[in-house]
Amino acid sequence: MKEIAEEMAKKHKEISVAEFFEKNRHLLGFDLKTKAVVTCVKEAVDNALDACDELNYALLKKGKSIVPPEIYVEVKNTEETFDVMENTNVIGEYVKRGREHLLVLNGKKFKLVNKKENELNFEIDNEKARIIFNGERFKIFLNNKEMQTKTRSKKYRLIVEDNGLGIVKEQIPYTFGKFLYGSKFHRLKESRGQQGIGIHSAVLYAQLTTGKPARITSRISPDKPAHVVEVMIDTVKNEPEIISESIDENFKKERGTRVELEIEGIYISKGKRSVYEYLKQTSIINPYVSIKFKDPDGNVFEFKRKTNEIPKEPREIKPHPHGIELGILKRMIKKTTSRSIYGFLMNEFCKIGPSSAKQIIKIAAIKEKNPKELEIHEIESLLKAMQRVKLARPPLDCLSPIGQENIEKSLKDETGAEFVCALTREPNVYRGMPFQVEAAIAYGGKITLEKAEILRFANKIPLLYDASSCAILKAIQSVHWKNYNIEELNGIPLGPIVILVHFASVWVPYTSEGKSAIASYPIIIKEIKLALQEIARKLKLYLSKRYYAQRRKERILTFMKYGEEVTQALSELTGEKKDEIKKILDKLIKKSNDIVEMEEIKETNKIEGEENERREED
Amino acid sequence: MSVEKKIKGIGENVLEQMKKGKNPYIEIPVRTLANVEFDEKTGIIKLKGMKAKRFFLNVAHARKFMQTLLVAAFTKGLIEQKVTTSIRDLYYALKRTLPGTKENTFEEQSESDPIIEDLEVTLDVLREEMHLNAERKGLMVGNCTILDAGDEINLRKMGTGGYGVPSNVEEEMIKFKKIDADFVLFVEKAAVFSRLNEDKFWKKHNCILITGEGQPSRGVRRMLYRLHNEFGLPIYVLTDADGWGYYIYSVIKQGSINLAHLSPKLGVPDAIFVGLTTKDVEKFKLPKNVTIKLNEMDIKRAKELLEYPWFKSKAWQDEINHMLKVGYKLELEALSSRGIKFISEEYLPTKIKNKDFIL
Repeated sequence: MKEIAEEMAKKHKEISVAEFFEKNRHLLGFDLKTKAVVTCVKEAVDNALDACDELNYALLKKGKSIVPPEIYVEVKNTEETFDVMENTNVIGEYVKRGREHLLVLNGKKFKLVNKKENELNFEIDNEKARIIFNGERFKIFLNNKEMQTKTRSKKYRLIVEDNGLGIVKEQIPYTFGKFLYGSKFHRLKESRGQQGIGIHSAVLYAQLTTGKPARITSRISPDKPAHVVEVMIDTVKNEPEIISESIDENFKKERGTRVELEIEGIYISKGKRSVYEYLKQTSIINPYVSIKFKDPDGNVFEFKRKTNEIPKEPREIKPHPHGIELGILKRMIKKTTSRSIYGFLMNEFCKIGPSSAKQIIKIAAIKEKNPKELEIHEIESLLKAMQRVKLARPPLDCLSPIGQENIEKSLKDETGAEFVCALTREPNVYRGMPFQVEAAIAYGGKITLEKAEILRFANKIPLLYDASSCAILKAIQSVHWKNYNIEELNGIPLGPIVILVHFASVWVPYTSEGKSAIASYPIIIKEIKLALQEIARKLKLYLSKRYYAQRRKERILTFMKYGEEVTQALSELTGEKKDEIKKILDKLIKKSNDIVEMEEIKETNKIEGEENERREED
Repeated sequence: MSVEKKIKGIGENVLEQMKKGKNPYIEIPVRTLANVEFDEKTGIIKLKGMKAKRFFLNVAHARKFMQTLLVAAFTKGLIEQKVTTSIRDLYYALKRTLPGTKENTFEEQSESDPIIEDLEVTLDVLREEMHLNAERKGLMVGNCTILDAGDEINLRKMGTGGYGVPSNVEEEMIKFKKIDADFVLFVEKAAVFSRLNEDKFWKKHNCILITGEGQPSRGVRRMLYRLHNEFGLPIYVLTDADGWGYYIYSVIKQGSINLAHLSPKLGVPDAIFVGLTTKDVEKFKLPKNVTIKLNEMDIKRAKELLEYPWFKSKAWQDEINHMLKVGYKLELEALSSRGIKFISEEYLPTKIKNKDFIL
């Protein structure tokens, strides 16, 4: 019996990677063809940004100046397949790949016999086929009869290039060609990728949909050449398979990596869930990065760098006992080199000192032993004891917020708003995990929205999907916007408003592997809400000041408008000269401005007073 | 103080305030129900003392402030040049587009007319004294002869049309040469006036016949006032039996809310209401099908009338409550259901003979 079990376990392992992927496509963001393109770009860009950050943190440590990050993204249409139909029955396909044309009809592969500027002629046996082009459009004729065509699938080449750290040649196959699921799973550090599966799933998706390897070009130093490695994942062994290796003489950057993937999918040019939108938002939340993007139509977009200040380096921390789950604890016990429970507690966790370690063991009522010898029920009581004992909060200075000023600058640049206000809250803790909320609001100016646009970010990554289950949306809806003189519909502010919320943590509690919604821990919602309330207050103040300024202006205009007629009539009534009356009247109108300003100051003070009262209520 | 001086005074006051660096204003008595009272003793509606300040440096007032000064300056000009013009002329003469806007000094005549009334009440003068008059409205025939701007007019020989009552019937314009009539009959509607004129009602009953052609103009009211006060003629009022007709009667008798400041010059507290009443349906055996069902507006208006102090007499409360109870109203023309000449040959003579009035 044991042998069979072992065999089954082995088999299970062999199919695991491919099967895991197939079963979890939806969780990984590859369930829709439209989503797949964005997801692949996102994974590659996240890696590119991390590579740039790592280089700059290293340079700063050595006292050198940073290399301002530059990311280049390109999406190219490489292949398009059309179904060819006769009277709605599919009779074959036409594949267009660059200058290559492949026509298969009724099971016969046609030969290209004649090529003119706008016309291709094919033949096989006695049958003749013809494709006539008219710009992007074309018509297919089989034996002079026109067939119908319909797009079946499109393939794209994605190119993402950075000027970051670069990857040592030997590491390239492993970085891209081996699923490392779980390796980063336990690292507690603010980083973009959190589960260590991102880029590999993109590579695997490419491989499964087009059969093409990932092509990686990387250079780690200006003194060294840029290595090119084509790599695939051996899904049976979960090992990288090197397809080719070469040197790229034309790689321009001193350091950096270029990732090229060919995937099947559907590219959307604009909209909330497009590559463009993803890059735009990435640029907003990474204002120290410049991003250039070339779309399939050859349009080039540039998201410019808005600051040269890079955020401080996030620090890895040990897990805090209050945020531990049974599975994690078991895995930590498996991995630890400590030989005693006491040592294990002291070494592997933060904020456990000798006395609290002893206290935990006492509360758990277990005998001191090698942690690897702990029975499951003993691990459970250890866990309970760890959570019961009073401990200091985890270190809070381990996070890397973008900062109030940088967010304001970035959001103002991107939206062209007339008013922008950002806030970085002090870090807080959920379930033993330090986290920090940043929020911003942009109003008016070039923003022409009728309903607020919500930009959600976690650890400097835009969250494009699953808004409704995200803590950020729930926090926004919990704010009483009407208190801030902002109309709302279903809790979403109405008007020319953009709201930005950035959640940074050593561990982002996503609701799913798709990494697009933050779980709704009450403390997280509360922190976001407090941040939003404070910036909403500032917006309210701004709007009321603007309102009074506007009203003052309109008032003066009203008086001026009637001034001429009043002057004329008064002159007729009293015999006084018009010029004389006009002088007096103009002076009076100017003075009325002072009166109005006095009123305005009074009103503003009143609002601030009300606000202070309300703040105390909070 | 002369009218011209009073008008100038408004401008001088405003200029003086401006020179002192104050927000200039014009003080104007309020012309709403809140500022009128019914004087039981004299039997007319009077203005109370409430005044409102119309400021220039106030967004809500500025436009009206400007308009008030424009009208004042214009009337000053009229008096200086010794010309008279109509209130419609004034509207056109003062209508201008404000520079750099799409806004006019006055958009409608309905904007300039109340300003004229504001000035009348503020300065305690009649618009005629400011050389303004309204369009002629109202007709008159009967046993009398008048002088209109010196022209002798025999009101017995006005044909079917009647004499058009001018806007200004003051002494300097209209003089009464010979009055033979025993009373004056005011009828609400021109059509009924024509009927009675055709039947020579005024000849048979020795009276003067006047219509306001709807809501009576100041000219008609002033004419009634003079005929009553200068010649002691009783004024009989004949209107539709509905809220609007009753209100017309009350305007002749006590004055209106809007022109309460003029009541002493326009009101005829002795005016007598002869008809129509809803009770006449029974009395004169009118067929039920000539009555008109009260609509919501009629009911609302009738209920308002019940509340006015000058409708508090028992007879009026009875009549209005009766109307609400039976739920119908009557037009004067309903009397024709008993024959074209019924009104002149039976209804009115019976009513007047029996003194069947509501007081």
